[in-house]
Amino acid sequence: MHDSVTVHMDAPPERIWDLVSDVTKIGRYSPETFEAEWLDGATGPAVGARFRGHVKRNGIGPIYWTTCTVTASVPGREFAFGVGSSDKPLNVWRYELQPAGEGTDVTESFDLSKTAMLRLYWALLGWARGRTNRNDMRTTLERIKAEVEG
Amino acid sequence: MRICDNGGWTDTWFGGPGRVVNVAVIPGVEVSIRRTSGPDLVVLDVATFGARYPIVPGASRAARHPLLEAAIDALPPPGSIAVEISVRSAIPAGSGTGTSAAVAVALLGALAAARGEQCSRRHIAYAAHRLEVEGLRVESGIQDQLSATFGGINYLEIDPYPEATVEPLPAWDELGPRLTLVFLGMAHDSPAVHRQVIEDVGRHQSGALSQLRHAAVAARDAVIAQDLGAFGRAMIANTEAQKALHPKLVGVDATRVIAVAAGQRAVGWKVNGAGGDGGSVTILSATPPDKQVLEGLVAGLDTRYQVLPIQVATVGLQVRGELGTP
Repeated sequence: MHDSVTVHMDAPPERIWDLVSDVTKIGRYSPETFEAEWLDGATGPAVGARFRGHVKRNGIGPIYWTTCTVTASVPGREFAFGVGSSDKPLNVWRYELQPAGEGTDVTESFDLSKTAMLRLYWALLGWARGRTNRNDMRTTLERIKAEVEG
Repeated sequence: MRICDNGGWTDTWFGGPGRVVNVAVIPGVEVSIRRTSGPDLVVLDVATFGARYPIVPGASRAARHPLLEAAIDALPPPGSIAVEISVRSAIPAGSGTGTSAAVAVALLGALAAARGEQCSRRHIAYAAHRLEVEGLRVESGIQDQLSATFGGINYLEIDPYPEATVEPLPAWDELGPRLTLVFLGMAHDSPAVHRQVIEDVGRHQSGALSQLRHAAVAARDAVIAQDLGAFGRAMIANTEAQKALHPKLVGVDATRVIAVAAGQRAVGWKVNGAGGDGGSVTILSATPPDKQVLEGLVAGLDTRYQVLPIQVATVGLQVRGELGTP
């Protein structure tokens, strides 16, 4: 119910953080979420800020909006958001940035809430979702890498 | 649904190594999921039970249909998409034909598709198995789920449980028109007998399990040879092995129907599923006219008994359509 992918990028953490924390750019990188917008007057990343993402699940549909709340926002180091209700998110997505050599190791991860419902989901189809998430995280990070190194 | 499950009981955690032949039949289970405008996130429609009610996935509740609700809890429609989920089964629950597994396979297949999850049929079969075993904490072999997803006639080797290899056997046009499925009027419900069997098998390796495996292998060979007589003998041998496992696995009603079948020189008979009181029996007649005569006799034997029209299913799980976009 948790997994992560790390990709090294030849770019400073601050530059990468600017991209991953700007949720309006998410459609450029994510295979599933093709657009997002800030809610409630928010204009940028801050803990507690809400946004909604437009998701095409597994890249084939269905298409739906999902509401997210920023849970960590440390420029140059970390950006995270929870999916679903702000107090009990179903899933937390996180980007962690670690300086490495001349560049940055960027780790994207997800952490599903351990509710009975999600435990059962993971027992039934976790193998599929886990694989999709790993592939999608790698795709997302590789697209970001191409942009910051381009 | 499946019938003629020769080797059933050996596909369980306590009965292995498993060897099973089963025959998938229609009518099966049909699940449809359609978008609604709400306000309820999910409305579950189970017309067979005259039930139609809203549920909130993941919310604690006293489940009216635990299997269905557990499946919806596990794979709810994504986002805030409101849907109505309709579940239809022509064969009664508790008939010993793997109904609950077929329902779980159909519902999970539909829910997974509605969520855009890309799963093979085999994965859906195992998800349905886990739903019952891990989600609902009930005993379940793996053959029913595999039969429901693959369809046709299959030979299964299960070892170690629940890992199974599925060998599709050749189509056999002569078989279907000679098979009669008799529902014995009430759901099979023999938990005490089933518990006893599990305890007995746990204490000492039962010779009956070996007989069940042999009956499965004999049935496989009969299908490959397209030999009705041999298939019928394998069915009978399996029923005797069920009796050896526990005498009450072949109940009073099943014994009455079998006696009529034997009197009509039927080729074979098999108490479907685990056995016990109620449930159903499959009878193999020598010819289609013999089958018609037999069905008339069985229907007249007891008003509770129902001859359920069946055909061999050439396909298993089929998923069509998509939920679309808002």
